[in-house]
Amino acid sequence: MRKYLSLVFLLAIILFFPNDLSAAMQHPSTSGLIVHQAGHIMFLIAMLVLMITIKKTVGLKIEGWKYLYYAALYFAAWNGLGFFVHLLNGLIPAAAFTSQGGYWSTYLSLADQGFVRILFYLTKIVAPILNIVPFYYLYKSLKSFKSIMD
Amino acid sequence: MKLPMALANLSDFIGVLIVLALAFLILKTAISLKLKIKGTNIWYFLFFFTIAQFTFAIARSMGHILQHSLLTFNLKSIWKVLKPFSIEINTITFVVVFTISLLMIKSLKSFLED
Repeated sequence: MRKYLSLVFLLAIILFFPNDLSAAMQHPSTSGLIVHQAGHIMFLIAMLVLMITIKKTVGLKIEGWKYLYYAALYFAAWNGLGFFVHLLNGLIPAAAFTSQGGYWSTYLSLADQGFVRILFYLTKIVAPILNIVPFYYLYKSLKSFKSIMD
Repeated sequence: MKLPMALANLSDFIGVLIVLALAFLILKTAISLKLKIKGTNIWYFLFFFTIAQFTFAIARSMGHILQHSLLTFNLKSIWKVLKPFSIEINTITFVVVFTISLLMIKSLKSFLED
């Protein structure tokens, strides 16, 4: 447990180091964004610890634990992707988003930072879909434990 | 060349609606599981882990639904006020998931290793 907390502390120091994050500081509420990013890392670490615990103790032979392992895996993956999306979003200036008559008519210009913006766009589409997967596996895990108890 | 953000917004909107439905399903299943294996460490772990994930799912889904709804109806000024609260509530739920998970994993580990 102590080594995981040390890892969290180390990541928190990296996240709060102002010079490293200056490139992403275009957001008006910078401190909120940094804390949010730290939250993603904490969530990710907790899920990695859960995965290791399941694998080292009960293994993946029982369906309930196997599905819980998958849930933790996808929660971790979603947090990693979420962190990345916020990071990319911070690199793109607000002027890159142009609206042609409303929220649903907003476009992202590729005139500049082509690779970053395409990557941001793709991750922005994939992240919400990826967030469904762990909840589905958590549901399957609970259902499986329930069927054992029935 | 321009990319339509509508596709990303639609993916997000559909995603949070599905997560919202799944959140209530996991809560319902966890409560019915409570009646069967109450009093064991596994039960405490599963229940509190589910509650943490449920809280996260509700906070995130409500925030995103509110965002899409307000911006669709051109209420950007209201969203500008609510946005920091929505983001911070989400962040708090991340910390709740982290804390509950690590605390519960410790008790689960000792139970499973016995």
